[in-house]
Amino acid sequence: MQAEQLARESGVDLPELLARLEYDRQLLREVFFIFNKEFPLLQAELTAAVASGDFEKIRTTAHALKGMFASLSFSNASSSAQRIERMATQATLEGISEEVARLDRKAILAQTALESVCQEVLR
Amino acid sequence: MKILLADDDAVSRLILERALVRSGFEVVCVQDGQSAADCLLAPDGPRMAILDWVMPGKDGPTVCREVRACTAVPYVYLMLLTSKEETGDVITGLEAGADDYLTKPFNPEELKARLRSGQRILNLQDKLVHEAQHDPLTQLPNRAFFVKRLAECVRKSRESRAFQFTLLFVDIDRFKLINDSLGHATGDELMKGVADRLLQAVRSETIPCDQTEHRRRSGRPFDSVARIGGDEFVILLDDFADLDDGVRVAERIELILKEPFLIDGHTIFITVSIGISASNQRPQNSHDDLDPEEILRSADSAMYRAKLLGKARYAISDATESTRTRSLFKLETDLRSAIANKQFEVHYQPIVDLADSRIVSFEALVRWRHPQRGLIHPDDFIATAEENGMILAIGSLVLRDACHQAKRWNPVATTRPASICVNISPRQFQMLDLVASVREMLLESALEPHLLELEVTENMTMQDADRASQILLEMHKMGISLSLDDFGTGYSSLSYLQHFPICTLKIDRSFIARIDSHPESSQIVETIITLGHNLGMKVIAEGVETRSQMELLRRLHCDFGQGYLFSCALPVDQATKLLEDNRQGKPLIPNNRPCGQAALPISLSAAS
Repeated sequence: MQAEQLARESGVDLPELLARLEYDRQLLREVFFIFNKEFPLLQAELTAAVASGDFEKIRTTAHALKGMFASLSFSNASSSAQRIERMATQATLEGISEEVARLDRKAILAQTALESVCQEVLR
Repeated sequence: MKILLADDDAVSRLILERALVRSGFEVVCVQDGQSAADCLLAPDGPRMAILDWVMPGKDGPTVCREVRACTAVPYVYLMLLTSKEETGDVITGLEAGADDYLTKPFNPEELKARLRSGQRILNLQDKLVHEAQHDPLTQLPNRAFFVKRLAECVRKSRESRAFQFTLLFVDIDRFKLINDSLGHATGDELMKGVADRLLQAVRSETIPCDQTEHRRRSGRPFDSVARIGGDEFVILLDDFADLDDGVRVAERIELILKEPFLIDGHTIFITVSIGISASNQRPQNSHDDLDPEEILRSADSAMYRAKLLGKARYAISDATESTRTRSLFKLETDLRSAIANKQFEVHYQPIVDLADSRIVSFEALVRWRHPQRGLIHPDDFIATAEENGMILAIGSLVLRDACHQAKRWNPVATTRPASICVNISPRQFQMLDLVASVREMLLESALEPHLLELEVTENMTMQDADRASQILLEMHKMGISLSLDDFGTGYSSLSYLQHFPICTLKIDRSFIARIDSHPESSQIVETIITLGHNLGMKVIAEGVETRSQMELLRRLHCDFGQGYLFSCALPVDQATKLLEDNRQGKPLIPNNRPCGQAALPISLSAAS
């Protein structure tokens, strides 16, 4: 299946995600819908927090993203969010913007992969 | 089962929510810590919760701590959501009061297993709480739980005099008889039946013990029925403004229990005695010291009064009753201390041969030398001692003293012995080791058994005639004399007189008091004397106070007399002096009687 391969390449553990959702296709769609709504908001909050150097805000937003990605089995994106959270805890801005950019890329890749999965599932 | 899911991450929340719904839970979702705490501390809140560690407002551990600090709500099983890589959080979370944790991202099978484990623990805990607070037979609340509920009403009543409550103390009449005759299994079934009917008689739902606080918060009145002892039930009528309401419930209970119980082929009719006590019976200014245990005691006293009035009725507690209860409590406390501090002493009242005025015996009578109240007459404490069992200690003390004293009065065999009469109380008579105990006293004092006379009453022998017969025969075989006290006031059963080895009849003082003024009393006394003599017994007249009574008794051939005319009960030294003088032929001189009672001109030495 093409979507499955894409998911694997994008750091999405699809078997794990489907098992967590107990193979509920409808739920997969709902989750994806909510993710699409929530992710841009958190992404914007993180960018703003980095720009203003608000470590606490960076930490909590990165933590929320980490949890969300983990629930969706976006392992690459989740690891990236965890690194940002740790940087914020240590109050270091060095390299954080780059890590945020990496997170965005990984998340979008995973999002695209998941979209393909959803479309495939819908067919 | 309701479960709270608190997580600010919408994706995780949705996935978890669905997993929980699939596991059969009713899920309440919130997004922040404060809402989670509010939900868990609300009446009828969820009994399980999954709390995310990081949440806006309050984090998961803080919510755990708040929930654990509140003892008014039933136990909530708390699970914390934590990241896999943050294992240090687990310790902090458990310390904060969490029961378990779940790592994010969760595994559905692990989630279900942990939830099942939580439910098992909750079920077990509910069971333990239920067992600790309920009577296992009827499943009604037990005494401890009931008192807690009563205390809650007392608190509400203290806060506002507008809130009043009424307490009913219900006791099944003659339940012991049912238990003894039909067996404990039937007795137990009857108890369950009574519990069911009592619940029908009140505005009660059987309330799970762990929900009372929630019910209290809901403000709806409800009645509680509890079983607090063998055949004792109590009913708390919540928010009843009028004592008449309590009376109406009591009447309803009487009516509802009138229908027979059909148990194991037996048709059982019962009656109950009910004591009613209400919170508004107390004076205005005494409301602050309203005490749950005292209210319970007050209803108990009223129930006891209903029993004394003949059972199968209700009685209302009043302020006097309450005072009486307090005095009774004080008396009981003082009695305990009196036994411990040896405040009892034995006085001796002579019993005189009416034919030649010699002292033939003494009746041993207990007196209580109270450190504050002075010498207390037995009428003021024997009934209480009998009721609470302290009579056993007192009775034993009197018997020991009396035996030793009688031995001192009769050191060697003499032609004019003075025996000793000791009263046996109903409780003592029920003692399994009464005979052994008497035998031990005789051995200890070296008193010859024929010098000991034990007095029993008809009532004691009537309760269990076979057992009574066995005890009395054993005593008789030992050589002890037996007398029947207060004869004429009880059953006066001739058949029993024939079957029991009684040597002496004591005619009750009530007949003697009227012997010279009421011809019928004189006839009764004459009949008793004749009856006693025909059965080979001696007869003693109690309460002889006047010369004319004594002379009439002599004419009726009564053997012995006892009463103030001769002497009241005396301390041992005075009794000893009286006996020594009498043995030397000195008559009892009324004017010199130490007790100073009813001094009458009499010379017994002149008696023929």
